[in-house]
Amino acid sequence: MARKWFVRVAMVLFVVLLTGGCGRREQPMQEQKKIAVVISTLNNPWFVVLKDAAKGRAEELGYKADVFDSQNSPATEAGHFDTIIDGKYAAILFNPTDAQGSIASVQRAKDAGIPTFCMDREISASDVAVSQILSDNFSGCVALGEYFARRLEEKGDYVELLGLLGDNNTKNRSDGFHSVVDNYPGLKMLAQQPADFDRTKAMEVMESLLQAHPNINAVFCGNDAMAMGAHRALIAAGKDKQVMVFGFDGAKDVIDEIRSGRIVATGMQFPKTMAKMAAEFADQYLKGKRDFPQKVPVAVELVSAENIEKYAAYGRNEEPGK
Amino acid sequence: MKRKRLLYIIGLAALALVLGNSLEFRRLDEKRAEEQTARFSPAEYARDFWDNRLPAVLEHPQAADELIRLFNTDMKAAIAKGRTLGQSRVHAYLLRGAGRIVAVEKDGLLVSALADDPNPEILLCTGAYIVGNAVRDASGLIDVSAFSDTMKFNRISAEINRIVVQEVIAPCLDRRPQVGMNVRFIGAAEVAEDATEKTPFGGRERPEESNGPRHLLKVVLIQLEVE
Repeated sequence: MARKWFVRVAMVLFVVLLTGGCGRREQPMQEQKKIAVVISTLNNPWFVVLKDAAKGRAEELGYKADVFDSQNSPATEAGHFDTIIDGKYAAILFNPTDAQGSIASVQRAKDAGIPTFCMDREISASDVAVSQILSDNFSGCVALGEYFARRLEEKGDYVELLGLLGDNNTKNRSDGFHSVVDNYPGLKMLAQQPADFDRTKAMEVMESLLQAHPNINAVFCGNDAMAMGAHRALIAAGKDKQVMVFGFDGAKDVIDEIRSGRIVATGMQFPKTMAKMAAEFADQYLKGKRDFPQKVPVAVELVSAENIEKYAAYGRNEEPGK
Repeated sequence: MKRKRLLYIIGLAALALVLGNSLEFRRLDEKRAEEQTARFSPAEYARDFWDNRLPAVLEHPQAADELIRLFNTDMKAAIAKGRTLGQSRVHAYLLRGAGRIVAVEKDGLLVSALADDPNPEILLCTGAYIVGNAVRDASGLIDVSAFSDTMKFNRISAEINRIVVQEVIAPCLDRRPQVGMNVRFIGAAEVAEDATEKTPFGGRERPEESNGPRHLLKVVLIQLEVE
C-alpha cells in the first residue's frame, strides 16, 4: 500500500517536473530589440550605402535591423510605418520621401512610443523626430556654384536638372547654387527641369533639352545619378567634350569620372557618417539619453580634379570605417 | 407672453448654433506658433539679428593677426577657437583687425595685417555679392535646430549677406579705398581645414608663379573704417 502510494507521488512529481521543465523551455528568451531602417529608395547606389551603413552600425550595437524600401512613394512609406508600429520596433532610422508628407508617419511612430532619427533628408518639423542628421546641401551647393562660375569663366549657357520637387534637399541644393551663379549676368540658365534624382529619367530629360538647346556649355545636376544620366545623353549626342557636367553626392561612378576628367565636379556628402551617427543616437536614446540636437548639419565638400586624391566613393580617403 | 418668450429662446438658440459653427476654439500658443511659421520673413529676421542681437557679440571678437599667426603655427589650436556648424571641416570666426591696403581688386581689398610681413594675408570682401554663412555661423547666435526646415535657416544667411553688401560694402566703396590707406575692421571669416593645410595665410598657393593667387583669410565685413 505504502509502495503504491509512493509510486503515485513519484509519478505526480515526475509530471510536475516534466511540465515545469517544458514551461521553462517555452518561456521566451529576452528578445533582441529591433531597429527599422526606412530608406526612400534603394534604386540609387548612394541610398544603398546609407542603408548598409545604418543597418551595419545598428547590428554592431546589438540590434536586429530590418530594411524597408519606400520606393520613393510616400504611400509605401506610410505602410512601412504601420508595419513598424505593429511590429513593436524599438527605433526607426529614417530617410524620408517627402519633407511635408512624411511628418504624419513620424508623428504616428512618436505617438506609439517609437523614436525616429532622420538621415540625410529632413522633415519640415522640429518637434516630431528625436534628431535629424542632414547634409548641408545649401552650403555644399554654394561651393559648387562658385566653382561652376570659375570654370565657366563667369559666362555661358546652362541647364539645371532638379531632383524630387517635394524634397527639401532639391530646393536647398538649387537655392545654394543659384545664390552664387545668379550674381553673374554672363551665366544664363536656359532650362530647369525635374528628373527625380533618377539616372534614366535624367538621360531622357537631357536628350530633349539638348534638342531645344544644342549649344549649352554646362549642366548642373541635383545629384550624381542625374549627372551620370546627363553625361550618357551628352555622349550619345557627341557633346560630352563641349558640355561641363556638375553633380552632387560623391557616388562611385561620378568620382571615377572626375578622376578621368569627364565630369567636372560634385559635392561630396557623407552617407556613412550620417547613418552611423543616426544609429548611435538611437542606441543612446534607447539607453536613456534624451538631449539630442534636433538638426545636425553634415558639411558637403567640393570634389574636383584639383582635390580628387583626397576622396573615394561616398567619403574621404581617410574617413574611418571606409 | 409665453409664446413670445419661447420665440426669444428659439431665436437665441439658432443664433448660438450659427455662431458656434462659425467659431473655432484653439490654444493660443498653438495659434501664435502657427502664425509665426506662416509669416516667417528671412529679411525681418536678418534685420532684427543685425540691429539688435549682433552688436552684443561684436564686443569681444578675436584678433585677426593673432588668429593668422595661430593658423600658420598650430592649426589645431586655431580650429579650437572657431565655431563649427554640425559636422564640418569649416570653422567660423568673428574677427577684429587693422592693416594697410596693399591692393584693390574686383573681389575686395588685400590687406597686410602682420607688422613683420608686407604681403597681404587678408581679403576684405567688397565684391558685388557675398555668399556663405560666415556672419551667421561666426556669431553663434542662430541655432539651426530652432527652424522647422533648413531652407529658412539658409535664407537668413542670404539676407544677412544682402545687408552687408548694402550697408557695409557700398558705403566703403563710396569712400574710394586706395592702396596705402589704413583700415580697421570687424568681420567674420570661414576657414576650411584643407585650405590651411595647403599653405599658410599670406603664402602663395603656387610659389613658382609670382602672380599666382595667395592663400588669404577672406573676411566678410560687419564694420569698416578707412583712414
